Amino acid sequence: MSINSGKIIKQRIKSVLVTSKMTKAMQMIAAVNMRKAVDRKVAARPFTYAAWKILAHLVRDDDEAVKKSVYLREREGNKTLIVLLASNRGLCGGFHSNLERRVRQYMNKYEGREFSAIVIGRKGEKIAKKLSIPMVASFTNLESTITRANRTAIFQVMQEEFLNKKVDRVVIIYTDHMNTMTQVPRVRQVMPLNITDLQDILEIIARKEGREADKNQSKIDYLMEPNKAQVVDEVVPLLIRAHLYHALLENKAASESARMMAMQKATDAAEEMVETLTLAYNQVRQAKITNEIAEIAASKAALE
Amino acid sequence: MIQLSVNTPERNVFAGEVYEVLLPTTEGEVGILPNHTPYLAALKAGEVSIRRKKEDNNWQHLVISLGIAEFSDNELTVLSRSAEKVEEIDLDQAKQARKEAEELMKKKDRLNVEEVASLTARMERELTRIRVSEKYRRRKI
Repeated sequence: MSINSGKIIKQRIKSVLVTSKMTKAMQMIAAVNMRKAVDRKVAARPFTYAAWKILAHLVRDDDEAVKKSVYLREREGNKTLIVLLASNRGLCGGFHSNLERRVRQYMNKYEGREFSAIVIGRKGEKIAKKLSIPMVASFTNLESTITRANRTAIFQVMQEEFLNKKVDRVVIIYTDHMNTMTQVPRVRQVMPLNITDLQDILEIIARKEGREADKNQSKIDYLMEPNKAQVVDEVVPLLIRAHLYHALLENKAASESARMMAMQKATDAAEEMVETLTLAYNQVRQAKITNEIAEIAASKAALE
Repeated sequence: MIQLSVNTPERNVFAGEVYEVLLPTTEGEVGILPNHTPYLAALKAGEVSIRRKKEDNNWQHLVISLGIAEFSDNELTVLSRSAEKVEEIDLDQAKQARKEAEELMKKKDRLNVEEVASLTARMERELTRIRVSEKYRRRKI
């Protein structure tokens, strides 16, 4: 072993320690961000529930209302707008590759459909380019703050594409935050709003909260102003917005917990590496000392 | 009495027992008193006024944007994209924000779809906030 190897190992230990400090810090930041997103998600629920209850009253057993509303009526065409929610930064394990796989899977399932995309997050842009989906709009500056203005902007682009019949349906592809360990990429159709899909989501939320979703409600005869069709067309966009908001928060929470897990793994790996390196360093040092003693002993023996 | 709850996607803005609520529906201002018939209405951007007691003349005001109101069993739910208590609005900040948005809008040709969309949204929102908040500021003075 060379004379310098001890020094080199010591340098490596130092650099690994610095890295582990960084990954540790990133892990903690991700944890805080995740908690924030989860809190906001919980705060958003009463709105979604209330809006859903109103809509359920309006469209129950009433195909007319569904047929009349532009937001609820299914269209024939094959143009599909994907709202792709990703993250701005990497370092979050398999988060984006899982997302990409889900997008690819969806596109394969509906082969023959014409796809376009609104992407949120720089990594989303990458995925769209890789899968050669033309981008209608790209929002890459709003990951850290899911503000109302940002949301409205995304919603307006979606709405414009859909109402002007440039696309026949809009789906959101995002990653659902089940818990810290599990994140599941999902596809949800939001325009026209799919009632079954929505029920599905509410049941998932209910399950997360550990209770049954209430399905049966008594019939109420509302006095409606200005009229039923207009009320439906007012409620549904609100729900779609709530939907988008919910997806953004889920996605945020999921990406942050993926990042947290990835950083934790990195920190663990770094700590392990420090241990191995320290052992190697001690061995080198030991060898050096043994060597020196041997030399001293040898020179002493030569003198006598 | 009416159980009123005003919600936005972000948070619950108001929850409590009140006596009368005035709503800015698309058809004009509508007052809701206890035991009103079940009612569902589309709301436009404007103000929701609330008083807690019959003899109370001290109205509380909320600024909302587009939304919906549902009333049944003496429970009134107002859902809106945004809602704020008038006293929460920072008038100077709102004016400043609107001015900034307007300045940016002037360069519209150079903006992309995303930017125009966010700016329009911001301007609309600030305008309602300024209008209502100015109204009550004047009244106070």
